[in-house]
Amino acid sequence: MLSDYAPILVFLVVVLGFAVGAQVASNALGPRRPSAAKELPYESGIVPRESARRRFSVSFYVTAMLFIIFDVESIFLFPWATIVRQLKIFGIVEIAIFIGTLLVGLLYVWRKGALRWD
Amino acid sequence: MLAQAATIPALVTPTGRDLLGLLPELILGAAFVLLMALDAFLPSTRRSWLAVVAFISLAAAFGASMWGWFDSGSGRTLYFGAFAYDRYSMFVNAILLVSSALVVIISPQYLNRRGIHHGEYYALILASTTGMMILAGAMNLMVIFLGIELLSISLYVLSGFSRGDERSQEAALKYLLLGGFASGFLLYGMALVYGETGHTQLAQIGLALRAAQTSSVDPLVLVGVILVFIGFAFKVSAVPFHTWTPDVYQGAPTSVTTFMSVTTKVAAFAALVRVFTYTFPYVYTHWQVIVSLVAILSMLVGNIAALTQTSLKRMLAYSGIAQAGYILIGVAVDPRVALGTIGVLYYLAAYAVTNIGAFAVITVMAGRGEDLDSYSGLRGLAFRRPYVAAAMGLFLLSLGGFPPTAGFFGKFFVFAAAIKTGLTPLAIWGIVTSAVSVFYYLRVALLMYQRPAEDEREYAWSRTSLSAGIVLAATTAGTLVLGIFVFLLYNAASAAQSGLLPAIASSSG
Repeated sequence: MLSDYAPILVFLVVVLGFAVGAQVASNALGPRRPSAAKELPYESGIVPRESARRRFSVSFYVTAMLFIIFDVESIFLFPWATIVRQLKIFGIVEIAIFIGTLLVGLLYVWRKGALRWD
Repeated sequence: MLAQAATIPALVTPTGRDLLGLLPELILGAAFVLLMALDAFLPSTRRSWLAVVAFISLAAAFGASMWGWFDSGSGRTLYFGAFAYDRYSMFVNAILLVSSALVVIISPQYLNRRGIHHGEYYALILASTTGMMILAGAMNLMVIFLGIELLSISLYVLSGFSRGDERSQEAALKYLLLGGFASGFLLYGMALVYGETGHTQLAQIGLALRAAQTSSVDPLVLVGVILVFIGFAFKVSAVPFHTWTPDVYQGAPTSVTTFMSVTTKVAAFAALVRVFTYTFPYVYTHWQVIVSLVAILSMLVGNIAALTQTSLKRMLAYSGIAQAGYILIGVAVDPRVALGTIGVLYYLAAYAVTNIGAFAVITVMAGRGEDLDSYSGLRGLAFRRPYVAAAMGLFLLSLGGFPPTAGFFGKFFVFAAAIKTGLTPLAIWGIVTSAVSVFYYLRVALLMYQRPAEDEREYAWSRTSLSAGIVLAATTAGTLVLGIFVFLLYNAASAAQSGLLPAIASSSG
């Protein structure tokens, strides 16, 4: 029923009210004393040496993406491991196919040179 | 209605019967993995082998689907009701697999000429086709979503396959962003339907809606149903969710456009019919208005916009939008009348052979590094390539709905279903807009039979190769056979309709 959603509506109103209220209050009540040091980008307390907007190798991106893909896929092994006994032979075959597919993916990535760093 | 606390079932694993029923999808999935591995190890001069492997796997999947057609009989479900094993999905599989196979045949030559012959192409085509077949058989909201994502993600990559071409990149990005939106609509709609009925299985949802019908239908279910429809409308490029279509069709490599313009529509309509006509019949009166409205708008906007185009691919894109409108008439008719679904199936098959033929002409005529895209490139084609021009003329007639071509009977059955269920205005509107469409189809046909001016630079048409000849011959034959021996396909479509799952409503007539 539509009325089941009433708590969500209340929640939405409270969240919006808090977010907007906090912003408005800190803007209206907080003191402002700008200085050069405060304008610097925050890098964990270290004084920045150069602009952060410089180019870096696309290999970082490819490596990060590959990591994410294989990382996420390896997570599937955990739920499988908890019920592997009940799944019996079916589970073993299923996971072998799964890992085999991943392996082909890794082979593909390797042959296409995505793992080379130069 | 809150979901009943479902008892967690004992651990059950799919049986051999489940796997066997999924054979066509499994074959293509395995071929996809095999192609990726082959591509990594084959030298780049042997890329055409990949096309051969892809073709063989498509043929094998077709064989499995045909076997499934006879084996499934009156239909049953696989994987605990999440997947349909019925003649309807096998029928759709057949259209999809034949279309993909034709695309695979024309691709190597085209890709070589454009200089974009990468091995991933065939793997992605197979992955996309697998997604479409999953969509065609899906009986669970999550499986539907899985199928849509598998087919879409492969197509996003494929439409940007010409990496040096800005148009192609633009097409890929546009398709990705708008496709993402569409998935959002679809998922939100599914969430609402699930939230109100407590089920993701189509059969259970249908039963829940039937039970709710006796009291009153919850407005949130209707919002969910509409949102799901919007998600599908994006995929079939119906107005007002069509804006991506011309740009993507034009920018994508022509062989990819050939593939996506036909197969996406077939798969999405297959799922649309299963979900709306067969799962939501008890809220028919509510969604019928929306579907009719979208159909009317698609026919209007598609046909009017196609009139002003000067690019062949854009013209065919707008024509595809209009065709989606005609097919939607078949969805909008009363679910109790079988002719609507039969008409949709017939139209999809007719549209597949015709549109693949028309796009194949553009594909085989493509020059080195560029596509034949402007109308002026076709001028005088009939004097240089009489057979190609004749075939193209036939495809254009079929798209315009002239007898004795496939397109005529597609329209005929859909309009007949509309008249039979009292939606006569919809049928009249379809006939009027078809009359408009004749103008721009015939304009292209006449152009081919005009002598080029003496001083005009003639377009450098490539030679028609054997592979292209095979595809053109097959599509020409298909267009004629479906237009003359109508009952061959009508009977098959009728058989496909009669076993359609989930069978919630008692259909008659």
